[in-house]
Amino acid sequence: MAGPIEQFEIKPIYNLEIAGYDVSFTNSSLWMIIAIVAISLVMVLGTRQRALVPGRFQAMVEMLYEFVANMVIDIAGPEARKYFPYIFTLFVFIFFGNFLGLLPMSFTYTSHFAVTFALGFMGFIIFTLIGFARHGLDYLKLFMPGGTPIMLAPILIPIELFSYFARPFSLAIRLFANMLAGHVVLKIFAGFGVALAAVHPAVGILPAFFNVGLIGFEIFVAALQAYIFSLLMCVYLNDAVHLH
Amino acid sequence: MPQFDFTSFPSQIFWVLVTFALLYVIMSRMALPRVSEILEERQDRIDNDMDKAIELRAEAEKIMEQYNIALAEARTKSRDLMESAHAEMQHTAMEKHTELSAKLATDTAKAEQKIETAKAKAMENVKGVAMEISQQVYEKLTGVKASSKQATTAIDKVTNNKKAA
Repeated sequence: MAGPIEQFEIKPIYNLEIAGYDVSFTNSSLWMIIAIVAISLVMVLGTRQRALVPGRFQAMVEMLYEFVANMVIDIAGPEARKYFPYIFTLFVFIFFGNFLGLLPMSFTYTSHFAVTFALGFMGFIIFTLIGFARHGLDYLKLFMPGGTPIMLAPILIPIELFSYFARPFSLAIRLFANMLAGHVVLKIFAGFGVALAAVHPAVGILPAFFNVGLIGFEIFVAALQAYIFSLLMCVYLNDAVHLH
Repeated sequence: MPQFDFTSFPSQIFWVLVTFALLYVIMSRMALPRVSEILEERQDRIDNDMDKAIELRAEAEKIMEQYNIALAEARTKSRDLMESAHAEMQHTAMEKHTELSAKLATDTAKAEQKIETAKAKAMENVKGVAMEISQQVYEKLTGVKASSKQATTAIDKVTNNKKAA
């Protein structure tokens, strides 16, 4: 019986080393490759016919596109349109990672802090650079909004700075913890079923029913967490583009 | 917990950056332009069709206006035509009427004259017959033959008397 944590183990498939760092191709890397191949296939095959009146497949791709495009424009404004490909890539990368992770025997790369933090920190660096590029040193006003009494500065600036630097961590922890918890609960109930089946097969089936409902919930969480991650990225993008 | 096994971090971070960058290039260079092209094409098509529809409607309205103008024109023309026809008809009727009444008047006059002459002639004949009858009556009564002159004067006297009376 595999423990509930074993599913997150990273197993090297091909050993690789660059500049002294171990960058082996692992099961995590494999599922990232599967995800980007799946995404590319969906996007390219869905738009293959270029139909004026879309079929089901093309309509799905268009809906995905418009969903993310509307999110970017609604939250970060029309000036943020040029960063739309980045937000879109982020959304589908997380979305597919979460969904593919729900397949039996698969690996959920979004359940690892290293991955979610890399994604969050990448956004943090990109938006900080955009902010300074667009506003220069005025970007620092983000930590001391106009109209605030100067007396509050000693309290406000540390708070704002802290919340600014906490962003990539909160993004990373929220996503990885959600995926981790969901998968652990699924696994625990599955294991519980196996243990009960040793008592009596009729009783062992009961946790499986619970897992059916739980899988539905996990599908919801998979979509929701991808949405929340990219939505918050749009909020931070808005800060970088508009300075509040 | 494998999540906090830091020895796996370099590999994970390396691969997430590589795959993410790859995906970004595929999305931004290939997939997204295709979708936006399709959406733009559709929007253009819809806008075009809308413009065309608006144009056509304006044209239809113009044609309707022209039709209304033509209809009004035709109506006034037909009314004028009817009025003039009516007037002409009245005019000719009047003319015919006067002509006919004039002809009737002359015909009446002619007929009256004819009657008059016929009456005079008849009177003359009556005179002759009366003279003869009176001559015969006189001869029978008196046995004397009266000359036609005597009879005539006598008859004239009577008829004149009668006339005078």
